[in-house]
Amino acid sequence: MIEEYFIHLLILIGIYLILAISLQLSIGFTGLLNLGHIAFFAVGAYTSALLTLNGFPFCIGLLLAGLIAMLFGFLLSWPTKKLKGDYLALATLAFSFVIYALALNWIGLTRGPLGLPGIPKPSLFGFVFSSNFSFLILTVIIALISYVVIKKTVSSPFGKVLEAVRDDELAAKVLGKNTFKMKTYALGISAFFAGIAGSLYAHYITFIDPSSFTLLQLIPILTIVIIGGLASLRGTLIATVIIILLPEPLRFIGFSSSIIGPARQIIYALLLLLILIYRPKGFFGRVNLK
Amino acid sequence: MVFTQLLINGLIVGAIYALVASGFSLIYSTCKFIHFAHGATIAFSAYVLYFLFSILNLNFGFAVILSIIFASLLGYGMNIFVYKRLRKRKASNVILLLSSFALLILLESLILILFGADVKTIGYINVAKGLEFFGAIITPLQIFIILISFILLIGLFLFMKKTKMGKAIKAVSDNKNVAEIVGISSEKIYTWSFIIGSAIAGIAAILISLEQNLAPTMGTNLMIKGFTAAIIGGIGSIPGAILGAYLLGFAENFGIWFLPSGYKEAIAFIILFIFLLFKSRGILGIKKRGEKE
Amino acid sequence: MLEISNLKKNFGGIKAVNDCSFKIKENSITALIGSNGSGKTTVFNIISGILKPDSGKVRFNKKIISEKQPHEISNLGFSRLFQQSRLFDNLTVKENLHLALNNQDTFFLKSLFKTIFNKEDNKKILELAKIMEIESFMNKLTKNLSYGQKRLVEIARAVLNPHKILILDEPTAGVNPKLRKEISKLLINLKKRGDTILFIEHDLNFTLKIADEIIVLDEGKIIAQGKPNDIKKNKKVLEAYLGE
Repeated sequence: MIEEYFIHLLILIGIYLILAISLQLSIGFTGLLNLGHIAFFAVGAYTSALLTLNGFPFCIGLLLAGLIAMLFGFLLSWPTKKLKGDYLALATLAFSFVIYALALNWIGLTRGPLGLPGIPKPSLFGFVFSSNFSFLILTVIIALISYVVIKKTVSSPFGKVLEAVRDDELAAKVLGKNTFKMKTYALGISAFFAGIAGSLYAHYITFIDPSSFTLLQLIPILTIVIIGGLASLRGTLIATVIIILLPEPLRFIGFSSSIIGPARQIIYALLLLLILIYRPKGFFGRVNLK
Repeated sequence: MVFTQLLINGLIVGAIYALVASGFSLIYSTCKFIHFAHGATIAFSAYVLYFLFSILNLNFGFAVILSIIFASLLGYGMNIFVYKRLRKRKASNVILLLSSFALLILLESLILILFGADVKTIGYINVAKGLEFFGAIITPLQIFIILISFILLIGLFLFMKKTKMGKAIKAVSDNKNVAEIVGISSEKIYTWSFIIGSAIAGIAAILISLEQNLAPTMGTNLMIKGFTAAIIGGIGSIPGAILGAYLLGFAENFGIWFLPSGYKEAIAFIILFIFLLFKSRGILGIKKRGEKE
Repeated sequence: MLEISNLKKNFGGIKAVNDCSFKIKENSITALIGSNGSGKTTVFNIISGILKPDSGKVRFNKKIISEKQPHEISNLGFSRLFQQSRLFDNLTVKENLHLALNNQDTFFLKSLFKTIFNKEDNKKILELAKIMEIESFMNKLTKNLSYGQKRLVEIARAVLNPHKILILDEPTAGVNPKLRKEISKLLINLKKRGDTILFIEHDLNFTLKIADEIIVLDEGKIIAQGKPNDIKKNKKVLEAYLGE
C-alpha cells in the first residue's frame, strides 16, 4: 500500500527531524561537536520502553524519556569544561560507546542483545494510537512542538548567549556569562529532545535492542546537520526530508534488504564527504565548522 | 595460574593493538589529525586477504603480500582523494575527523555489501594445541603474533632513528615549518606516513585474521582500541602508542577479573573517556596541531 | 580600588610577570606601558581571571579576586577589552552589544518568554551607538566589518558591560588618527561619568594626554610609576625604550 509506505516515511522524517534539530542546537548554535547524541536517543528509547512495559502510561514514558536523557546531557557537559573540537568529539563518542556497552551488558535492565519486544503503542486519554496514521499525527504534533521550542530558544536572548559561546567562549566569559552553565543547558535541552525522539521511535517500531543505537545510526543525523547547514533550523528541516527520501529509490531497483542498509550508509557517507570537501558550511549554513 | 594466563592474553592483544596504534600514531604524528578511517584499512585488508586466499585460493604468502600492498594503497588513496583536498582548503581538525568517520562508514558499508554480515574465517593455521608456559596456555600462533609484532616494532624504531626518511618524518612531526625550510616536502612526508602506517595496519590485519574471525565492524572496534592506546601513551608518540597498547591489553584482561566479561570491550571506552578528560596529553604526548598555552 | 601585589607568572621558564605590584585609584585613568613582551597583557589576563598567577594576589575593593573565574570577576565590576578582536563573528553588532548589557539572557526560561530586544536596552545601546558613530552598521554581522569598525564595536561593548573599572588592552591599536581622538574623548567622558580606567597602550602621545598615572613595565617588573610629566623625564624609562 502506497499510503502506508509514505506514512512510514513521514514518521521517520518526524523522528529524525527532532534528532537533527536537537543536535543542531548543540553543534551549530553552541559549537559543541557532540558525537554521542545517539546515547541520548538510546536512553530515551529504553526509558520509555521500560516504563510502559511495566504499566506506566505513555505520557509518563515520553516525559521521563526526555528528562532522564536530559540528565545524561548534563552529565556529558562535564567533558566540555576542558575539551574542544575534535577531542570533545571523541570523548562524546566514547560516551555513546559506554552507553551502548551498558545497553548490551546490563541484562537485568535491558535484556541485553535480546532487546525489548512488545513495546505498547502510545495511548493518551484513553485513545490508542494503534494505526500508523494516528501515530503519524502524534509524531507530527511532537515534532512541531519540538521545532517551535528549539526555534524559540535560538531566537531568544539565551540563544544568542549560546552563539556567543560558540563564536568566542572567552569573550563571553569576560562579559560575565557562566559559559560552562550555558553549555550544560544546551546539552541538556539537546538531550531532552533526543530522548523524546527515542520514545517515539521505541513506540513506533515496538522493539528496541542495542544495535539500533550505534555510530551507524548517528551518520544520517550528522549528515543532515552538516548538509542542512550549521546554525540553520530551516536548513535542517529541508535536509531531513532530502536525506530520508534520497535512498528510498534503492528499494524499487530491486536490491535485497541486506544491501539497502549498507547502501544507504554509503550514500550518506559520500554526501558527507562531498559537503565537507566542497561546501563545509552546508546549504543554508550561517557558520563554519571550527 | 590465572594471573599468568591473563598476563599472556594481555601480551597477545597488546601486540596487536600495538601494531594498530603505532600505524595510527605515525600518521597522527605528521598529519596532526585523527585518521579514524585507519580502522577501515585494517578491516578491508583482512577481507582482501580472505578474498585472495579463501575464495581465489591464491598461495597464502602471495595473498599476504598483496593484502599488505592493498592496505598501503588504500591509505594512500584516502590521503590523496580526501585528506589532501581538505588540507588544500584549510580544513580544520574537526572537518578532517568527520571526514575520516565518513570514510570509515563508507568502507565498512562496502565490506557489508561485498562480503555480507556473517562472520568469516581464514582457515590457514589450524587450531593447534597450546603450549604450557608457567601455568598458562599459549598457542604457537599466538607466540608467532607476539614475535612478529615485536620484530616489526623494532624495525619501525630502527627505521625512524636510522633512515633518512625516518628522520624526515620526525622532523615534520616536530616542526613542519622548520622542516620545510630545510627542504623537506611535508606533503611527501604525509604521503609516506600514510603508506607506511597503512602497511603496518595491513600486517595487523593479517595477524588478527589468523587468530580471530572477520566481521565488518572489526575495523571500528580495533580503531577504538588503537586510538585509546595512542591516547594513553600520548597521541603522536609512537613509543607511547606501543606502551599504551600493552597497558590497554593488560587492563582489558585484568579488568574482567572485576567486571562481568561482557564489559571487556567497554573497558577501552571507559579508559578512553577518562584519559580524554584527565590526561589528554597521555603519558608521553606531544602538543596538538595549533595548540597554544 | 584595584590592588596588584607581588604578582608572578612563569611560562615554561620565562618570567612573564616578575613580582609586580601597583594600586589603581578609583575614578582615575591609569596607563600601563612597556615594550613588547614586557608582560602587560599577562597582567591583564591575570586581573581578568583568564590566567592564574603563580604567586601574588589581586584585590578589588579589598577583596581577593585572583582565584575567581573570569565571569565572576566580570560580574564584580570588570569590563575587558582585548588586544585582538574578540567579537562574536556570526552575530550582528546589535546582538554583540545586547550580550554585554546584563546577564538576564543566561536564564533559559525567562529568556524564552521575552522578546530579544526590549525598549530600555535598545535605548541605551542606540545612545552609545550614536556617540561612537556605529549606528549605520548596527545590523551587520561583525565578521563583515572593517578593522576600525570592529574596534569601535568592541569598545562600545566593553563600555556597555556594566562595570566599575574598564580594562582596555590597546584600545587604539591600528586605528586612524581621527578615531584615536574620538576614543580619547570617550575615555575622558567616561572618567567624568565616574568610571575607573586602566589601559595598555603603545601610542605614547595618546597616553601622555589622557592618563592621570602611568606605570611602566619592563621584562615583567615595574621600573617606573608616576604622573605623565615625571615619566617623560624618567631616565630608566628612556633607557628601556631607547634600548629597543
